[in-house]
Amino acid sequence: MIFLYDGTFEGFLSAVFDAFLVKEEVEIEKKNGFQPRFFAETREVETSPEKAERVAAKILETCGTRGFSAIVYIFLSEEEHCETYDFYLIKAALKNGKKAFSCFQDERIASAMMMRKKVSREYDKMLGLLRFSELSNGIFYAPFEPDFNLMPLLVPHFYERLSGTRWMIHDLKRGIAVYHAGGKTETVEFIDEITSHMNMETLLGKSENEDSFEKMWSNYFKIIAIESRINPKLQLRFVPQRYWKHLTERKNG
Amino acid sequence: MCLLLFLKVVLVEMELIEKLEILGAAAKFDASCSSSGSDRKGTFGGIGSGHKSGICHSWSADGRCISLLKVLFTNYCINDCAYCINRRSNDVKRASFTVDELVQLTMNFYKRNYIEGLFLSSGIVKNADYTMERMLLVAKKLRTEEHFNGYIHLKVIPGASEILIKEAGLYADRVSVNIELPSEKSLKLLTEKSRDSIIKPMGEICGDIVENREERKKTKKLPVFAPAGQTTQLIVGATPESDFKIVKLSEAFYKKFSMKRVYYSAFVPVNSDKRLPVVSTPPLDREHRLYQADWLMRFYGFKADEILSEENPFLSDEIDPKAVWAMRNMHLFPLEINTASFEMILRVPGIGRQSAVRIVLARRNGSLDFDDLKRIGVVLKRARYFITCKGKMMADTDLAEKNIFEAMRSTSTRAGAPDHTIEQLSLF
Repeated sequence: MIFLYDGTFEGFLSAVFDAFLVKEEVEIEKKNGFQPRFFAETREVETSPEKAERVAAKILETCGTRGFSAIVYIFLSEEEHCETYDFYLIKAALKNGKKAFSCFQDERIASAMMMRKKVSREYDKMLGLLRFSELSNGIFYAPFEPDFNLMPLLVPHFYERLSGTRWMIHDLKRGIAVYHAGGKTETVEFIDEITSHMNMETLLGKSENEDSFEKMWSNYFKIIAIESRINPKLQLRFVPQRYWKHLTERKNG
Repeated sequence: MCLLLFLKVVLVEMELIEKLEILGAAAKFDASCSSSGSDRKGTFGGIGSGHKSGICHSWSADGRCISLLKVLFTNYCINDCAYCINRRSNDVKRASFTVDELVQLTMNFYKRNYIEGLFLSSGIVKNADYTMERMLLVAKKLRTEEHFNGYIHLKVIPGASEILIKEAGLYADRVSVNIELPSEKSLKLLTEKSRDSIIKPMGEICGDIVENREERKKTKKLPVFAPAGQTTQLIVGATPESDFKIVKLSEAFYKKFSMKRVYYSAFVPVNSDKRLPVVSTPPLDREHRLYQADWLMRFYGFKADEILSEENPFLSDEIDPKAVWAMRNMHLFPLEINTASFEMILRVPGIGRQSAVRIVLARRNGSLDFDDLKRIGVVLKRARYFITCKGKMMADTDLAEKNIFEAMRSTSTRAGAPDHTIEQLSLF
């Protein structure tokens, strides 16, 4: 049976709740973009904050924060079948406890943990590679286009770190943005779909000092390399080309 | 009037960008750029927080991680060390930052997420204390006036008085004194620093850390002294010391001074000096092997004496030290993965620390076979010669010495190292 949910994490956890009550094998998929299959029975899941809360609490209780974060990371990978694999892992973990997460003997769990690893790898990378630039209105703005949906992971990091500034992190690929000021964060509501994918820097322009800092940083990036150790292959392995677009020191060649 | 004002602004900007160029380039030979070991918390309305495992913010064209804004306060120096680009007898462009310039650069770079913080070192002006005091002004201003909670790494100037070192540890996450060269004889030959002036502050820092830890047990509110500990660095290949001597030295640093890390920096000739060897390229492969040996000591439970010896004092060019050790100790293998101890699994070539942890955890769910090991991330091309699963070796594993040697050799090269096979072929 295929359970269809609304694409939110809450919706997914609600689906997990409902799926637990079913005896047969369950797959979980997003409602949006679902391709009906022959002979497959589908069921629409209603998103319920209470159900989601209960599932989350249960996972936390049996798997700890590490286990819970693995479940979240796998969900955020947005890879094909990630919800079904995630559900499978939750089931195994609620049955066998924390050791289920290291059950590499189980191909499905190993694949799920591989998704977790890929997300965690890009998250670690993006903690360093995200770039803020000061806009004409004084907001520090960071556009990016990650492979995975990293926004929910990045926001707490920068919430603690850049508490003293007004900032906005914008996933141009997914059209979602979070704004922070004075210790509060909120999800940005865009006027329409097109605007949600637009780079605010082109729209609003940079602050007066911005170019000077960008120039100094780009120049520093060049001169810090030791000529007799130049190793472009190694450099490229750490920062693949798809990340250059929003990287201050790389975007101008 | 308007034009004049514009000119002035441009001039000021030119000056700072040029200073950064000079003082950044002057600091680039310091190998350390790590921002790990500190989880300083962010404060409400402040800027910055630590990240326990450190964060790399970019990778320069030499493939090295850029984590901190690594600069010298000034590249004027009263010393004349043979290998140093900033030695007083060199005719290079000199510059000095002001305290405010450094504070503003750090804050503005940090807000843009270019860096994790500041790594400040300096040429020596007037004397050690004078230099150290000015460096402390920067750290103090960042912490107290700008409420900066990002990472600060301060270099300790050999010969600086103890009270200044104590102050450094209060503002900095990490402090370091460079040992520079592996022996006293080499130090004497190439620098104007005495071994004592370097070892002494290391001992003091170590003592301060221990003392602070004890006092914090009584009063929790006391600030942590250098939460990310101390490190050091030495230059490899400028002097004749063997790898054995270097590895033993590092081991002593880890044991005696609880150093967090020893950095190895392949000698890059920047001066022509009769006391220095003539080399065409820096010994990068040797540096790489030393790091591998260092890793074995810090994360894999190896002792220096297991890696090298008086009779066998250099690391192999061709094969990494872990594989060399394993091939020399074939009598300890093969290891049954499903029953072997964690300590022994760690010693198998092709099994990294993370895989070893996973193996031990996964075993609790049932026994493992070679497919499981593959999923865990074990490099079977290397490991297959040293392990069994459920009593069996991997199919088609030929234990002939030349097979093992070739498998180890082909998996031992440094990333981005020139490919020798291609070079060899092009000879014909």
